Amino acid sequence: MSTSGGVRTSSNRQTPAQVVRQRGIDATRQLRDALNLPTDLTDSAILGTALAEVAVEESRANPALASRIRQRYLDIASLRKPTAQNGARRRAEPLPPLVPIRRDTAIRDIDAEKAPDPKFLIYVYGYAQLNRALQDYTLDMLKQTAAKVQDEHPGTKPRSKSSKAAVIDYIVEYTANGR
Amino acid sequence: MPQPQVLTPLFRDIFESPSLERMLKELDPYQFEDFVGFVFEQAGFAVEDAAGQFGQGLDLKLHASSPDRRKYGVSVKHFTPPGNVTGPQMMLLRGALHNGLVGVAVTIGDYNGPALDEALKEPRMWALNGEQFLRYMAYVRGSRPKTNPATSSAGKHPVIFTPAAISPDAVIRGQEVPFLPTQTRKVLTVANHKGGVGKTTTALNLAFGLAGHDKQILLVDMDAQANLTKALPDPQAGNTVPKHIGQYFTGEHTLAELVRSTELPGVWLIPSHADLTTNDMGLAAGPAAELQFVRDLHSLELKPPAALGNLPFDWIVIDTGPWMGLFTRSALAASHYVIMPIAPSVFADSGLGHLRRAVRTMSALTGRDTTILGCLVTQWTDDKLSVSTFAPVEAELNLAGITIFADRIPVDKGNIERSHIDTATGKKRTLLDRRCKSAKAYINVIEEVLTYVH
Repeated sequence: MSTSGGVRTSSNRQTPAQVVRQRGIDATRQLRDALNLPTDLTDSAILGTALAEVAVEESRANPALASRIRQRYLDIASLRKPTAQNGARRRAEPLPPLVPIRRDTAIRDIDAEKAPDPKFLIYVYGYAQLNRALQDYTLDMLKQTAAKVQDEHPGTKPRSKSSKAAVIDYIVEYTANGR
Repeated sequence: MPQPQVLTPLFRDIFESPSLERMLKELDPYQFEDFVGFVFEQAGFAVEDAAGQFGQGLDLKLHASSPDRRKYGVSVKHFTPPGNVTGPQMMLLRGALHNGLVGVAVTIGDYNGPALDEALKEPRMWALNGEQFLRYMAYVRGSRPKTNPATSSAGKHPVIFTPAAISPDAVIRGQEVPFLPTQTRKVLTVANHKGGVGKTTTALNLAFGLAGHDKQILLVDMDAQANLTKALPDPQAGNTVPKHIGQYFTGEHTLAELVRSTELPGVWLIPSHADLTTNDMGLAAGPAAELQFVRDLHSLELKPPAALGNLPFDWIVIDTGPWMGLFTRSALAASHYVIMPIAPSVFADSGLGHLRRAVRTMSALTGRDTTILGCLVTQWTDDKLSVSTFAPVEAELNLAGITIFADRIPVDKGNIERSHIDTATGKKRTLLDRRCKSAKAYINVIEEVLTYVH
């Protein structure tokens, strides 16, 4: 990115969405010229509809045309599809639901801002679901819990304090094993 | 009645977590008598040891403070179930009731037939068996301020407010109040001690959705903010002064007189008004007011005006305010079901315990289990903050066995903003727009409700 005269200018590099959009503009212009449509006709939706209707009629008699349209559609669609390589963030897989292993009708007061208590989570969900239960908390909350575990187990620490997985592994190891 | 200091912690502990087994095993007959006195002290009575004063019939004498100045004579029987209090023992109590004393028998066990016959002969006599005494304790626990003997008896400051004592007969009167079966009418309260969680929106969407199942729905607005009332303007309003639920509690109108139509087919409304704030007597209203509301809400006389259909209500949906005063307590007492909307915020936890305690307290009064149908998560954004804020609440709900509705009501900014505008301007249109994502989620919630209650 470069700046010029206090105005931010974009680089020549186009995003996939911009590439698709530009190809659409170019194709529409060329089609309009090829069909001798008035130059002020800019409704691409109407043009697309007309094109689609003719394509449907022709494709029934011409499988090769249908195949070409289908292939071109997939090629263009692939341009818009975010991939891990181009830096697009993929949505995390949903976690499995937690299943309580106990019922307890006592009414306790809850503090939603408090760091998670792994012993309470084991009581509610069992050892096997502790890792899953801790996944719901933020890294900051988990670090507070890890600090308490560290107090109880001097000389130990998580592999990494910036990794949620590492902090959870540490809490699970030193709580669930009852060390 | 002065308690043996050494027993007070035990009494307090049993009072907080009582069971028939604890009263039998941890208290001998003399200690049980003292414990019953302790319970009546918690209920607001001045308790006097009456042993020997009135023959063998009485163990304790209770003095109620204003406005109920009745005096009660109590007979205490530490009988192990299935041991029963007998007719002659109740005759002794009857014989000791002089000078307007109201008689109360308390036992851990029960009463045999002749004993109950004796009790029925005397209108001023009440017999609490073990289960009823447990319910009485539960109602007292949730209805009276917790006093600290160390400070309350110090007399450093003038007494500002003394709530009325809770009569021992409250739980017996409670279980005698007629309750319509759910096959006839279902009563559902939307409640949460915390404000801004979507109670009104939930009540309105439930009513709208249920009406779509060819049901007759009565919405009762018991929130002084009256947003539900504003959202459902009276199509027949002229220059008439609007009636509201507060006027039922002040005796100006019956519930049936307050029912009015709305623009939604099949949905009727008992409106609210800002004046409701001055009608809420809170806990001072006592069980009599709460039970009267139960009685009237479960009356078949409560139906739409004859000129406008006269079909009975299948559902009554009650919207409550963010506090556990007279109106919310009365609504809970009258309800078969409760739905608790909860929004994932840093204070999400604050309403949960209050509501569960209130449901238990009011169930104890009527002797009927009010079912918490579930916790409805509203204003959901599915981001890390929502998930982490809701996680401890979810653990508590899971442990308590309270269902979390499968569909969470998403933040629907357009809808919420439109809703507020429409609520303020009295339009119904966009609040109930089935196309918006929150409305779709509510439709699924209604299906879940109907699956459970049918």
